[in-house]
Amino acid sequence: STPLGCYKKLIEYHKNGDLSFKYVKTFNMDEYVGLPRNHPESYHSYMWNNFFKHIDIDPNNAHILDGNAPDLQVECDEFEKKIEEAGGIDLFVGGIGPDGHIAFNEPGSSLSSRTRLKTLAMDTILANAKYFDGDLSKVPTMALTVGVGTVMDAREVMILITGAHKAFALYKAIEEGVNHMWTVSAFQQHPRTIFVCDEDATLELRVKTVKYFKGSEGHLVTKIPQC
Amino acid sequence: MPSNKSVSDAPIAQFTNCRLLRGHRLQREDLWVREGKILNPEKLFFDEKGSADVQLDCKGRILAPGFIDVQINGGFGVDFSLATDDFRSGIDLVGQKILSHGVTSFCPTLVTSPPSVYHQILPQIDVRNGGAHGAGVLGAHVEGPFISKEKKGAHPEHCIRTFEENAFQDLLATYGSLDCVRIVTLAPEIKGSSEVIRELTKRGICVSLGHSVANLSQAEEAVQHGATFITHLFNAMLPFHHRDPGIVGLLTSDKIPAGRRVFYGMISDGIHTNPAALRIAHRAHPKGMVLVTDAIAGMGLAPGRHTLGQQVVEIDGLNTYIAGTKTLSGSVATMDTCVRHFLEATGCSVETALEAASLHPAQLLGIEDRKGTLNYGSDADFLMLDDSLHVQATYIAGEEVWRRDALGM
Repeated sequence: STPLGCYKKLIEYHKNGDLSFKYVKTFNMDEYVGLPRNHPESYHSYMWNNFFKHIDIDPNNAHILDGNAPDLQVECDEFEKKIEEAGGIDLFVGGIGPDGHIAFNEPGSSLSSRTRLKTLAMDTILANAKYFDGDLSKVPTMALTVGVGTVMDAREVMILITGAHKAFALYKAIEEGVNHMWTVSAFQQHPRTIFVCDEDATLELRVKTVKYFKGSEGHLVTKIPQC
Repeated sequence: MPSNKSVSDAPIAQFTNCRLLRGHRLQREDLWVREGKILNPEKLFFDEKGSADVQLDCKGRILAPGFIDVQINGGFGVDFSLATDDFRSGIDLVGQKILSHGVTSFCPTLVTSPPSVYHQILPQIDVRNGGAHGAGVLGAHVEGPFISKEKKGAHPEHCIRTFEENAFQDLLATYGSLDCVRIVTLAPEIKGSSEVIRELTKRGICVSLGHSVANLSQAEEAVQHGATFITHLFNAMLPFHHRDPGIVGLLTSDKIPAGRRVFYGMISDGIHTNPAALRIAHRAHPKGMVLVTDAIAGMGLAPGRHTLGQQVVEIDGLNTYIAGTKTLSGSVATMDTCVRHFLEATGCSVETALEAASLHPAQLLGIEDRKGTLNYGSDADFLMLDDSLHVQATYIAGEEVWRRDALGM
């Protein structure tokens, strides 16, 4: 739910007539396995209700992994193929988990991984419980996800990190080394990555780091309004 | 771009910028229609990769399911209890005129009449879908003749009957045919009624209690045999008494079989029922409220004298009486007037007022899977209304069949 604010803004620009999605292609990064597509907590539902139904995107251009496909690996392989056929990803936008995962590349995921089936970490399942009436038995335990390698292929990567509960993950992502236990750290090796943060997300960083990126006159980084 | 040709070629309409009644609330959602039914746009997007062919801007108005009138005796000079040569064109005329009142389905109602009248009229009532020609006909509502003489109201006493030995056969012989009959109003205290109620219920015909002096136990027994409706609550029945609430007591009875609901018709024209009584009924049993017009031939016409079956009635403003008496006889209110009056008198929500004229009658007749809601898969019979619930446009099967002039869309 991190990009929700962004979607709202994009919808606003569209409704004002300033933006059209007629030629935009999207690829969602993940979807739960075994959850009915029209379940209110599926990413299909999320994308339809919070984004697609408000804009003029061509349904043929909106791609989301099918967590109920008969052969899940084939589904993942097809997804990679479709990304390639579309000319590759121009911009990847996503948030991170408190455990530093990008998409559902949970701690321990290969940093060269591609789209595949993943078992969700307990941290993730616990974090999701609130969307399933707090009933752990109802929370999906597996998901299809793009790999770290898949995201690294994008020409530009934008990671959104907001809130104090993500602060430690941000510290691990940029002030420590590249490590498969904090998969978002892989983007230290991507040529064009932006990490968009609010003040609270920087709480675990060194003062020196934060000052550097804020800049004495803000000339390194422009202050971005709260999403 | 249009629908996926492998699923359907039919054009898709998207009604935008509206508040639609769904899930008992007004929601800011678009209404999608294809082939006369309400379409699920999410399924269209993901399964068919389809999108709308035409978008219509509703300018912020309310979209609600079309009203269903289960008790209407005529209107615009037409009397459904009068057997004429061109009876069918009378149904057509009323069906067409009530579109402007927001009614998309109705049950032409016959008051107590001699058997010959039923034999002539009932075969001429065709159950049929609505459209540009008029509101859909769900079937006839035969109110009488097996009712109580004491509570005849405007019904002609000489035609009122009790059951012969073989009650159900007697009923069949009286009406001639039950093919197009949807609702029967009878008085449950009449001997033989239990058997009749069971037989009618078995045939999927809705049994309603009315024009009766039944006490509460007789009414409860009738419900146990299958009765599910009360005809114009309070009118033509014993008044509520705290030691025997009579038929009115069904609203809070604990003897209703599990899983069943008793509905009650209410003429909320401000005349047949005092607003305080309307509020008492609504508060006691809000989910059972069904708004009806009980409109007569004079509805839509100027004040003066008109016929109602075998009687002559006099219209003066919103009041209609048996000529020369103070006995109320039907109404000249329109359905949208009833909805607005109900809203104002009870202070209920807009959603509640709209459901009393759409969802509840559909539930009563067991057709809520296709009428009375804006759920996906339902028939696209709906209304465009302004905030004070004046009908701006009427749609049947997704087609606009009436609109207020100078609508501008």
